[in-house]
Amino acid sequence: MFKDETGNEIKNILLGSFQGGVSVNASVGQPYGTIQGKTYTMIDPSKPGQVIPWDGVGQRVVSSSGYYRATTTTTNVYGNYNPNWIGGVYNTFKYKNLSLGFLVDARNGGKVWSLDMYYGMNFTGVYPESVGLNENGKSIRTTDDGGGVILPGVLIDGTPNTKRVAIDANQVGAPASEFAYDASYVKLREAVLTYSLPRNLFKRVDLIKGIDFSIIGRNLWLIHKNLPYSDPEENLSAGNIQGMQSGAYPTTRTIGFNINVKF
Amino acid sequence: MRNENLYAEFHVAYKNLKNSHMKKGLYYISVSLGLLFFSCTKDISSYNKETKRAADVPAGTLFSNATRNLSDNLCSASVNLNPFRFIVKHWAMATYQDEVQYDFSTRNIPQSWWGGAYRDILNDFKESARIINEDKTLQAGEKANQLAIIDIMQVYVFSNLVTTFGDIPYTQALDAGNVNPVYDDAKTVYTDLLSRLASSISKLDAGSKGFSVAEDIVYKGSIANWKKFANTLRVKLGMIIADSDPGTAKTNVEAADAGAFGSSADDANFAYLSSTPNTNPLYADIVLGGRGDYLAAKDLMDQLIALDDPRKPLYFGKNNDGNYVGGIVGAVNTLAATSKPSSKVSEASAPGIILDYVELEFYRAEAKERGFNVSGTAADHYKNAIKSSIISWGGTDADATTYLAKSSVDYATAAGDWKTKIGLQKWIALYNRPMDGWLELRRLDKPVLSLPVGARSGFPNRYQYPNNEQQLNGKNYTAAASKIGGDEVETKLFWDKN
Repeated sequence: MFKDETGNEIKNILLGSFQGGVSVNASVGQPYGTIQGKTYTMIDPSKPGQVIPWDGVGQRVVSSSGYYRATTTTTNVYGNYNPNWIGGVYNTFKYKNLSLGFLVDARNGGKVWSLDMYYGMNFTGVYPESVGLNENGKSIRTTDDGGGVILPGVLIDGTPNTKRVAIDANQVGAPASEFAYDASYVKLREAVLTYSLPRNLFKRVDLIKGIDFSIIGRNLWLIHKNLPYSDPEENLSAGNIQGMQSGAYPTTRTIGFNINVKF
Repeated sequence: MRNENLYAEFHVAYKNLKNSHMKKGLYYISVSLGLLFFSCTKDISSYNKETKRAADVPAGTLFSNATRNLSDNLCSASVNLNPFRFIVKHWAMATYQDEVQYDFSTRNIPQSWWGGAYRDILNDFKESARIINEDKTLQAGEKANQLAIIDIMQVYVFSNLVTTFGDIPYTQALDAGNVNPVYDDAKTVYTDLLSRLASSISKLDAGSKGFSVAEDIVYKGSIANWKKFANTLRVKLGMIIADSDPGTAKTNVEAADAGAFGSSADDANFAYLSSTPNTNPLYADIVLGGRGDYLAAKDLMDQLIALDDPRKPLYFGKNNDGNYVGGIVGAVNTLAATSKPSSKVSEASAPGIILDYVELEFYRAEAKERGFNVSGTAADHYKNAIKSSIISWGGTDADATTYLAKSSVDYATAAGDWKTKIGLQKWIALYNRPMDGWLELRRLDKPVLSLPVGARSGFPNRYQYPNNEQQLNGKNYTAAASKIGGDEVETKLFWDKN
């Protein structure tokens, strides 16, 4: 990418680093805004007893604690924050004095990493996923009395994991890669319902050409998204640092009323 | 009538506006384009000059600030920076078990420790030394003393980094022109630190001044005390490698023993003030932060109870039922049923201990047991260490005498070999010295503590390198990680033989 004064070649520029060892980078050979961090591990096929980053297919390695073992490397690529495309459709239907306009916005592709999900699933246990019954009909929140879950995976020696762990307030034990989501969405960004007063009501005042009453709503409906519990459009920051959610607010829904007098 | 006139006037004005608007449009655009060109300047580098920045920072201020940052980091109980009280099982947590269960990665704790050491401490020391070196008005003896003191503090911080991480950037560190410093071999760095320390000790001259009373918050300018500090540090650094390199350990310990601390009066205490923001960090973490979820650990509490230790009420408070009860480390604990750290721990003006007589006396006892030629007997040093610990926590001579007379405490009759005896008592005495508590647990392997409930790894023998080192200094990181045998917390460092 460029060389510093001592001749070292820099292959990566860190744009922002976050909790959980997650970072946003400009890396050689990667699209701008690549999101990287720790991921699951699998047994190295060529070196048994060693782990390599999970390929997404093989058996994941579970440590002796019964939770997933994450890589030490934080350079595993989750994706990048750039969408494939963004677009919107605006349409207006008119019937007599009424008109209905709406704007549908969509974004396809790009990743968002959610610290909220990372904490909620791994530490605080506030999400509904942390409550439930296992195959024995016992609570997954405690390992007492046949409760808890066995995370699918293998131990470092290749034998299947058999240890029950609690999915409670403390840990699901998933590496940060689990919480990178597709940031696509389709939303009803805006809808406007307008009623135009009949002209004959004010025909004696020739200065006024028309009077319209409108109700305008924004952010009315998130039609489709792949990120649980929050709006993928919410971001921790803007500019170079995107694709990060931390303490995301719900998008503000506004409903407004408008009177438009035309002269 | 009036209304109609008003309408008419308005109508005319509106029409004029509309007509003129189009014609003037081009004019507006050309004017603004013109402004755009005129406002440009060929040389924009002048914008880089920070005209409002302080032109000079006094060397003494940088020195005090670095010392303060060091003390802050050592004292802190922030879960973003210093989780060592949980690692050594002095404290437990009520609710959040992340750090307690050895998850240091989520909050990037190694990054805070590393950044704190390099950026906030070592860099200030370096800059302070640079300014002192360039100061032609400084008297030679004073200059030599100041530079030696800074060097000794740098040795302290670098040795901490080596014992925390292993290989670290050293020879190429702290150079803004080199953003990719290589990692140096931990043992090589350590050897250099020992020789730097020996040389700086010889440069300290009590006949000249050092830093002023205001600048030197630890020793108020006393060179004699800095000399004792440096010798004590040398004993400590020697003892750290006693297992891996007994010969070098012996040389350093024997050379420094006589000049080291003679009593608790010599302790290197950073004097905090009783008012914010210059209070002990624990006051901010616990009192101002309103955190009541730091609890006594069962491991330490049970020992204090079993030995009827006079430090029990000094270390911890009682639970809501008026009893001393420790919480299980790594498990969810009930606040009301568990003891919390005493109010003494979180006192605003509680000193920040950088190095003390208590740990030195334990080192001396150990040195005797290892056959090093230092003064006194192991039993006496052991006794001194415990007594000084009790008294500096606010206990009395009588408390100490009673305690030391117990067969389970008395060096002659206490259970186990010297490592077991010293290890247990040192672990108790290093309460609120979490970084050193961790160091001694790794070094002595005594007392044997079980892993916390839900531990994510084995006992941490080191910190993993900061996450962002992989992003910022990838090539050198990868080389260092593979050289030390994997960037895992369980990887043992060169001095940690057992």
